[in-house]
Amino acid sequence: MNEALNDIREGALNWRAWGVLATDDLQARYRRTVLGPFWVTIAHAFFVAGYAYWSSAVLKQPLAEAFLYVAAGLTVWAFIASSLCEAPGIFPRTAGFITSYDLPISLQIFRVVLGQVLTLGHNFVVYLAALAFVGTWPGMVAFMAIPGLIVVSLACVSWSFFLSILGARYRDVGPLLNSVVGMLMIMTPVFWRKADIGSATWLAEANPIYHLIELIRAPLLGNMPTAVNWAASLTVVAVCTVISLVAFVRQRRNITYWL
Amino acid sequence: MTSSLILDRAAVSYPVFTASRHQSVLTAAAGLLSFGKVRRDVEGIKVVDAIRGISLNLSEGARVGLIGRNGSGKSTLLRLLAGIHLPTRGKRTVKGRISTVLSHIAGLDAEKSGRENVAFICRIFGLSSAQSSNIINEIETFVELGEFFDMPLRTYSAGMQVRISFALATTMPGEILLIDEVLAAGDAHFMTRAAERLQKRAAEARIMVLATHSPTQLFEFCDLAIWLDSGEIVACGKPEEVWAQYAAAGEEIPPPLKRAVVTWPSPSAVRQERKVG
Repeated sequence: MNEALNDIREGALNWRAWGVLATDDLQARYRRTVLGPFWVTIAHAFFVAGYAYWSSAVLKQPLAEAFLYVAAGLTVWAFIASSLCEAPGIFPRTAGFITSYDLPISLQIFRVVLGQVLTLGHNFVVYLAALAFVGTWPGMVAFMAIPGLIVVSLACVSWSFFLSILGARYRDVGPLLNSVVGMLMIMTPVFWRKADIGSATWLAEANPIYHLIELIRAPLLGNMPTAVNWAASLTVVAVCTVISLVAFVRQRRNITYWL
Repeated sequence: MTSSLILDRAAVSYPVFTASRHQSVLTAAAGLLSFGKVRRDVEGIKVVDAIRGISLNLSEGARVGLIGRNGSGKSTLLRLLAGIHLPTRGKRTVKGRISTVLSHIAGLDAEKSGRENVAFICRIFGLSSAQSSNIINEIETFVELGEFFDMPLRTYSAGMQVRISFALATTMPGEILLIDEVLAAGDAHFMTRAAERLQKRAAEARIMVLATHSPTQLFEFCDLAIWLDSGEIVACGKPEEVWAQYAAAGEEIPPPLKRAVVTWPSPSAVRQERKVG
């Protein structure tokens, strides 16, 4: 039990190491192409612009509004989705490193989540471009997105622990999660609004990812997240932390033998 | 700080997954849903007892050679000592920083050059830029790779790769050095230089454990030999004596020692009680 908790403590405190690893992951993407991770951003920008145009043309929504809504929402969604999809592969992908150095393995989780935050930073440019395009400013409330980002990042860390353990033991967790995330993208109000579905708002309310997205998206669109958004998001963090701690304490010894 | 490396009846057994269903969460879920009636997920998983209760007590100046046939547990023992694998039973206690040469370039980035890799590892371990540039210079001189030092590791031969890993492990600050057989990939010239380097490290009173198939290396670098077979200690003691037993044994492996508690440096404490049957 102690060795698992020590692993997490030492891993978290060794921020220098996971900082170096995460920025190196990013630089590795720059090394191969001039634009590096901005290719993801460009793909993201085309997707947002294309969808905004489509929804204004087909769904007859005001273009400016649709553009901003999707730019903010999809940027946050991409962050959460990449965390869910990448988590199961964390230990297999970093096995070479894990089996070479006497460093805490929790380091790899912090490294990957930090990398996802840095990618979010790149994609955030699309939202800023949308703001410039629409010519609006959400007001000071936009800064409320920062505590939101902290809570969503904590949520990513908390589920990454148990998903990465599960993914190290069972190699089909990754593909399974990928299929589920594809469905979640449609089920979560990213392309549509909660208000659009009339009486079926429970579909959004029951979805924890909706609340996490709102924590960042609402301020970016000039609104405060609701108390329900906060409560639901903090519950996600708490529940995932408990599950992850139990899983990590029970399985820490076994993880390197599965790689 | 005095360094030490202690194993107390440490054992390692791990599962080997041979079928995809062993690593399928869907099959595991089916097992749960059927209340364990259908356990296709665990059927046929083999468990390897790689290390069966080994006790070691190494302190400063210990230079230990591990010998034994392929698959006898040398590499697993090194990984256990390195803290990469945690013991499934028993305990490991360590004082001091560990550096390892366990595989050619595991833990290094094949896309980065030798220089970039060294700089990167220095940054991960939080060394100052002055320390890092000293280490990079020292390694560049030692590996004698010329222009290859600035080329990606994927262009290196196994011997060149092991030069980098060996130089890194012996140059980074650390009190405990663990080296697997990979060292053998180096050429004769490199082996001579590696020997000098290990002698120097030994003079600094550090702990070294080296797995080897070469009697020359064993006699040259080690003061104590441990003969492993099937994850147990068959014999331990003076390198020349243990090697002679090992070489003479051929296919006939004697039974493992009943209570082998290897303590070094303090050879008197090596108890050799033969297990019967």
